[in-house]
Amino acid sequence: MSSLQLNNLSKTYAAFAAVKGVSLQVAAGEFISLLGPSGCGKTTILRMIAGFEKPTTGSIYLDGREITRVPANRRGMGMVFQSYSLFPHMTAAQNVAFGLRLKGWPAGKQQQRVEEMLDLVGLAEMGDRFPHQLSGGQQQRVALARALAISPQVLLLDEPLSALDAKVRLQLRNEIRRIQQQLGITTLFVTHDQEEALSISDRVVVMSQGQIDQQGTPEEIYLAPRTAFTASFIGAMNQVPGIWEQHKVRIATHPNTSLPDEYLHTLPADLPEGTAVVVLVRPESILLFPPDHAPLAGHNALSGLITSRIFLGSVVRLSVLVGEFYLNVDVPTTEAEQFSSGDLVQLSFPAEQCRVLAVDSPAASNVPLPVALPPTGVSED
Amino acid sequence: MNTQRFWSWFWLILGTIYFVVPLIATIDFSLRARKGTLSLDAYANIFDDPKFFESFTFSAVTAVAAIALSWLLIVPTAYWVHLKLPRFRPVMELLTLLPFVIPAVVLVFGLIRTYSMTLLNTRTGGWVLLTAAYIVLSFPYMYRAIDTGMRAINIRTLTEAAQSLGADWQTVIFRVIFPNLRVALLNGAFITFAIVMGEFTIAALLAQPAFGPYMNLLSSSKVYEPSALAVISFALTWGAIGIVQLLGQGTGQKQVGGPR
Repeated sequence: MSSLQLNNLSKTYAAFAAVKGVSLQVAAGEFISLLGPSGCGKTTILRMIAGFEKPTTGSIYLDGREITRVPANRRGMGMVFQSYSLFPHMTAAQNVAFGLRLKGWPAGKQQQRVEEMLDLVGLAEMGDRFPHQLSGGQQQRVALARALAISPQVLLLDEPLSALDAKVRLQLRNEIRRIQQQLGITTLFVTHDQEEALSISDRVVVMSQGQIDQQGTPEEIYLAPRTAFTASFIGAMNQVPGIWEQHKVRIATHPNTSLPDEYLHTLPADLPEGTAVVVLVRPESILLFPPDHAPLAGHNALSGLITSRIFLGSVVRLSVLVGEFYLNVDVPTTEAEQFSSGDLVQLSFPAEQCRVLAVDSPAASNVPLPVALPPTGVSED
Repeated sequence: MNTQRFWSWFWLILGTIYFVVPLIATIDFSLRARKGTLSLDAYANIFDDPKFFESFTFSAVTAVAAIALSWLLIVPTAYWVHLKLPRFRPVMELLTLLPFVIPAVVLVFGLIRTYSMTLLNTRTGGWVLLTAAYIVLSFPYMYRAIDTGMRAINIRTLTEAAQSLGADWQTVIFRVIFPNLRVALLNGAFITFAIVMGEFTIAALLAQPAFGPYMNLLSSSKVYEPSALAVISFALTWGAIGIVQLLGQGTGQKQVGGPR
């Protein structure tokens, strides 16, 4: 098990800065996911760690030893790629043995290790098959076995599941986690799939525009996003614009009418009076009641009109028009029958489920104002 | 039979006649060396001529040398262009057109003027010059065959996968890239072989005992033997194609990337 440290790592291509001063500490045996949209720099970081790209500035340390300028073939990193990377002219077993042959392992030991690795990924019987005789999922398993065979100090996974279908992806991601825990290998996993990252990581590093936006355990990232970007990127999030006044948020539900503004109670925030803010609340945190229902204690209550329903399997996502903006509300499918488009409802959500961010702060720079569009998707109506 | 079907058959039969009739005529003529009967006399005369084997062996060895050197020169070049200098590809494609644009006579006199002091004074020197000229001549075919082969495999990912497993550049090229370009390399080799075996101008101007000048000499002094020689060349060509097909079977140069 090895620890990894990135110090102020940057990568610039001509005028484009792909990675901007990223520092990250990965503990030995830790499973970290770099999560972000396309072009956020996560793969570039992985490629710099692997030695395929030279950092413009910054340094990389492996177990306290600087490896920034060490060639890729001497870094001892195992890597699984997004595209299928098995050598087409070799069988699965020969692929797994490739790194061992280069290390000069005796044939007997090589064979034993190959069998062990193929068994680990559940392909013990497929060693004599060529890559074109294997499915996509099987190829990625062999690629994993090949990367693990050389006992790498760090395992690098560059979106290894993205080319697979949903069922295989789910199965393989659980296997990756099982194998990682079994071997205790330090692992960096690059993905743009938040569900993937949240489900298998010890720590998630959310990236945006070449920088780390937020890092923390999956629970911290999901439940306590510290930036508007993380909040909107991880799961669905309603963002309600308003003004911070007297420790609560004034929201203009009817800005074009003479109706009075309403107030939302939120988690405490240390903000100056009159700050432009957004209130973040997840769709599953909002409860729906009939319009004449008595407001619950400690809850915010707003009135709204259901405008559309989207069936998402275990939940139905309702789009509710509140004044002149929309809020998404997730209702368990078993309870969703009672709500239809055109129904007037009361939206109720506790103050402790509402986080508030200042719009002017860098953390909230991506917040769209105002929130006024209904969700896209296939409506049941 | 509908109109479309009729025209399909029409063009197929016309094409077959166009290609096959001259071949049949050549074979027929090569068998008429003995008056009034079909015989293999013309073939026997060729095989009895020691110059046939000398010139054939000379050209075959030159072809093999040109092929090996082309592989060593062009594979790393094409590989590097694919991997590190993709923007340089149009320039490479332009360079591959030069041997078509520059006439063989110009090429050979350029080579003679440049290297005559050092190379042409010896027999080996002349052969080296001839081999170098054939590498230039076959460059467009060899480069394009290799380039097409490289487009069919994911060069970057294969290279990086090998490097992450501890492979240096030499290992990557000879143990990962070369084996996956087998069909492309054989295609390029076959075309080069065919060019070298039939080439006349450069070999004659460099005064080398190659197969091309031998065929030319034979056709100016014999009647039936040149036809027999043409048939032998044709058989050798098809034999080479057969070998390429045979060696190319069962290679893993199939799907490398993309979902399955």
